[in-house]
Amino acid sequence: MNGVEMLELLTDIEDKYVEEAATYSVKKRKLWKVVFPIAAAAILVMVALSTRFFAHDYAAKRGENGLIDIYSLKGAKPMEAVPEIEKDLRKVSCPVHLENIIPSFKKCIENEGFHMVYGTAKNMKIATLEDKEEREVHVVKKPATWLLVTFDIEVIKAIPDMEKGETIHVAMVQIFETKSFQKLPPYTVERQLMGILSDLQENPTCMFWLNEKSEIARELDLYERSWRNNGQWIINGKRFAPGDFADYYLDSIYECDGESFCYNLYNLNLDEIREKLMEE
Amino acid sequence: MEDKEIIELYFARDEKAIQCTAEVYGERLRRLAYNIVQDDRDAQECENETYFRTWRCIPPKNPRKYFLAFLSKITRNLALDKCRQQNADKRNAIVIALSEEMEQCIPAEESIEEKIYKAELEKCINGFIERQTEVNRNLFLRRYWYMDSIAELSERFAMSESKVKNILFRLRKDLRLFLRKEGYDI
Repeated sequence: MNGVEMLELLTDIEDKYVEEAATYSVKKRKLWKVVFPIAAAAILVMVALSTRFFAHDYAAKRGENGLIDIYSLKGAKPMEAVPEIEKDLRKVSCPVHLENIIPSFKKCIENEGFHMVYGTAKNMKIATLEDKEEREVHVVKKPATWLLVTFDIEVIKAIPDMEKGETIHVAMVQIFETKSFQKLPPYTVERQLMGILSDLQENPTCMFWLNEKSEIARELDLYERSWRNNGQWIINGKRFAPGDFADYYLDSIYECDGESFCYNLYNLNLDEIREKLMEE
Repeated sequence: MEDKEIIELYFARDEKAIQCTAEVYGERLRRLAYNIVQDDRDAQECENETYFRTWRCIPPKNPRKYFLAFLSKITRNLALDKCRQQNADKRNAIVIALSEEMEQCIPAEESIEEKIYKAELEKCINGFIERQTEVNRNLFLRRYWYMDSIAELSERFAMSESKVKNILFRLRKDLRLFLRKEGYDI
């Protein structure tokens, strides 16, 4: 069958279809049909955004009136709270590293308005700028002995369970999974994280918290609390001796160099870790 | 003028019938012929020959319901015949392009019982077209029956050229599968 014959085959397609195709055309959408939904969507977005701003303002006002002291760390409004937080954070035992942390912290708060956790030696507060919720953890009685590093807002839920008298010094929130943090130059990120980790090493009692959404956390079942207390780790309520699973896990993070730190944190060879543990 | 009235003129053997047909459908028929023969004069010839054949066919035929389809089929056959007569199918870019596309989904083998085979195949193709959505069906016909270009289809169906190509590609693929299921070796 040649080309023409092949096309001829189609000639006997039913008349109704031929006739239909003869006049068929899809009319282009009228301009207003395109413009109207876009305009409506834009208005909705604007309303949503303005509502959000109003909500912030409203929350701050309520705080001032003393009804709900949402940003009561220093009675500051959300945006103004940043320098205050920064000031408070400087008081803690690792100022050098916090110098690196605070700018991005600030940036994240300003740009994203997401959750944050912060603390002072005298008064411990946890606030979420987005949800406008606040929970008092406890009043710190002792000098700082804890360093809290969290990548997940879930940590907030666990903090009130800590024993009284323990101190939380620094909180770092959702650092990995936020867009603004990802946009930071890698060097900044590494410096910040290395700073935190070196604090973890130096500090005899510290808490390490991983984002439950991260692969590592999922793999290691670190869904619940995990902390190290006097050289020991407690993961999901179980106590581990130094050198065992949890320690090895953290050691492998410490061993990463600055350049590959971020990569390694997400790409630890968990199978290798397990194998090594099995050998031990 | 309505199709019914034009056909009545044919039945009355009134030569105005041809004039009316040309007024109502002349441009479409010429365009269809041009899409195939790619030559203004040949297209014009096909159009005129269509009127002549229509004059001879009606009566006894009475294509009251689908008069345009009736005319278009005549024009299409004439244009394809012209291609064949002039051996133009080897030189006609559009015929080559379209037949190449159709080769992907319609079996091209020669056989002794070709006529029977063709009739069966036509039935199958009709069955396939019947199953398509309105847009897909018309897109298929506009491309392979009316032989519109991709640009024309894009405008007619208010969609991008790449989307048109995509849909046509999927349709050819579906047709190939459909025919395979029906027992054709493609």
